[in-house]
Amino acid sequence: MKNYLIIGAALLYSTAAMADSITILNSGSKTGGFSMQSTAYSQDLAKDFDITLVNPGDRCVALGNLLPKITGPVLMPWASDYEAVGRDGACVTFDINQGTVVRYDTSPVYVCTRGGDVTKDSGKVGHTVPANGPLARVITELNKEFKTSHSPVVYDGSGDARLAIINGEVDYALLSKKHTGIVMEADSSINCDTSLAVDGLAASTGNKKLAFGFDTVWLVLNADANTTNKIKMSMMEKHLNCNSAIGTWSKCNTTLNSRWDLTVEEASKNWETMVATQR
Amino acid sequence: MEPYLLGIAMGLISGLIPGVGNFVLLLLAWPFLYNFDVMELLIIYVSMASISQFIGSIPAIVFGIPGESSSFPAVQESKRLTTIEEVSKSISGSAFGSAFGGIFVAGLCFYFVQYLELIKHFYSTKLLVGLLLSVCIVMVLTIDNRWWVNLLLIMSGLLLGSIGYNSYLNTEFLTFGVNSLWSGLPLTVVLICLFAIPQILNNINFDVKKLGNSFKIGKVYILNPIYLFFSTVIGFFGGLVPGLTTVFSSISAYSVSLLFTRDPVKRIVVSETANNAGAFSMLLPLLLFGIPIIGSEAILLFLMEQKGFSIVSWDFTNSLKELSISLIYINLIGLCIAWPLSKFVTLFYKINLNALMYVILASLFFVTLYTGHINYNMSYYFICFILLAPIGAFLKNVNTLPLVFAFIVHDKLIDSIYRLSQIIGV
Repeated sequence: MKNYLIIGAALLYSTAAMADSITILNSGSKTGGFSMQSTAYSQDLAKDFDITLVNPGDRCVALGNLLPKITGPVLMPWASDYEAVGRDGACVTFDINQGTVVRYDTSPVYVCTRGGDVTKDSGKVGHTVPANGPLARVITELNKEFKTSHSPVVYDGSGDARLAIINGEVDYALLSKKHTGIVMEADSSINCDTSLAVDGLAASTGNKKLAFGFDTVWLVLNADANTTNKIKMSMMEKHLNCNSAIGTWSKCNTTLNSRWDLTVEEASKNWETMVATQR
Repeated sequence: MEPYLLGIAMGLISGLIPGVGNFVLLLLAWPFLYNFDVMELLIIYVSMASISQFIGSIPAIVFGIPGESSSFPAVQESKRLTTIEEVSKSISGSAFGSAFGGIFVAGLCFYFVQYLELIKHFYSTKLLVGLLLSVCIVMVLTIDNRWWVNLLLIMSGLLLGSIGYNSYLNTEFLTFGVNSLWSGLPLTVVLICLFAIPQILNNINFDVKKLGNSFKIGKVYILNPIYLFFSTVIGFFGGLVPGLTTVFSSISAYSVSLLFTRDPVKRIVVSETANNAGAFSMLLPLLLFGIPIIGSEAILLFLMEQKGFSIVSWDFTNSLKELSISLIYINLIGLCIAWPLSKFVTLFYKINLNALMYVILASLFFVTLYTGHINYNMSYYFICFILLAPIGAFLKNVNTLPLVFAFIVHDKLIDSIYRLSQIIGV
């Protein structure tokens, strides 16, 4: 009997050891893009790894409570605006150099309008949380630069901000790329542009504070170089496959602007620059 | 057939086990769900959401335990049911009311599908603030405590809800530098300690024999059609409120019913009718605008997108018609499951209820630990339980519904009032 137990235990151990274990830790909300992508990766990477998806839906819990308790390899997203708000006193900050950045995304904020010109026609501007955060400051900067009197209106997420411009509660909305196509499809009188990109109003006015975007990183933590590389390769492969979960979510990568080849220094420099502009 | 069966099975679990909601169930059922197409996934979800409403009312009415969170009004009124006939009436009335609510909403969606886009106007901050404040005011005036006690309970709920980090306002309140407190007090623990425990302690030692002395049971009880209609309408719009959905449906319909009737059976049926109406309407923002308004819908959206769902190319009209027809079947199935239970009420009361209440109290403690475990923070949940349970015991003679309602809606209320001030320029 004892021998059978030992053989059973050995078999179990060897099966478990066949695939590397990874915890995918969502640091965003349960309804947002990070949650969707974490879920997609948990689906896609399950072919190569033993995956545990941890989705508390709250970055304070994810980084403050859970991350310190996870000893094995972790794949986790983190956003520059989270970091900026954290450094300004919110619940958590995270030094991305503690891990390896395997994917670095940059996305400008799109200005969606119901026909007005954001540099001339004052109105209500819907944006995502927090109320006194970086997006609210961009609106203040627009007012300073163009002598407009836009008023910021804060929404809990991009979905709510999207609805607000569709139902006319606001005149403008600041949204990420994934949401713009849907908004324009829902109401043909709404247009979205990249005037807040680096080469937009910031370039034409020389006011760098008018450039705004969301930088996000996907980090691998607690893993050696081999495992990190294996995770990265597996992720890249899934992104190249339009039928994978992440490929489907990202509309075959058309809604993402991902870099996979940034050096540690480049990633760190870009990140710090973006965080600084958002504080 | 498979989607219906899976959805119904998930609805049974979600409705009967406190703390196991649709979000957790969808994650658990993940490996099975990946094999279904978009319409099948929607049928599973609608089946689960509707059946959990049908079933959740049974433990709430019979034993005063909220199987799922929209059953609070039924829990509250259950202790005012003094005869088995009333219990039986409440179960059959809730089953018929729920079926009416679900089928009526399905019928409306089927015939007025081209006008459904108009619900975008419902997502107005002014309207949301108005709705939330109205329900709070009605509660202050109607819940069976003194008005100032109700007001105090609402303020306490808002205060407790405000503990933690508010990502909307980027502020923290009473966190004392403790990481766990940043996420606030856990909803499950607050509901168990400050709602379920007072209810259960209040139920212990009630006169079981007197309850069992009467009556004809198993009669079909159908509420006045006007009540049914209005509770369905309230439930429909309540289901559209982000983050609150069926909970808001049932509590708002219940609050309104307090103005018109003192009959606990009617109040229960009204709230149960409303939450079933809300169980379908809560899907409309997802299907119309691609916006999930609760966590379980976000998982559903993800799964649907994996199967080719895109809001841009989605044939909303035909799909919604198909889904409405499915909803009619599901509600008839729900009726067939829930209604017969009204005939077996005497069997429920053959159990030693006092012993059962102690078992339930112990179970709720384990539900707390389990919920803490699946949220990766068991010790925090345990500490919160230990701290809040005595308060719940102290409040055993108080109707704590205003407190838990305020706790649930606190972020929506505070955030939307702040947003309203931005919109009107105060």
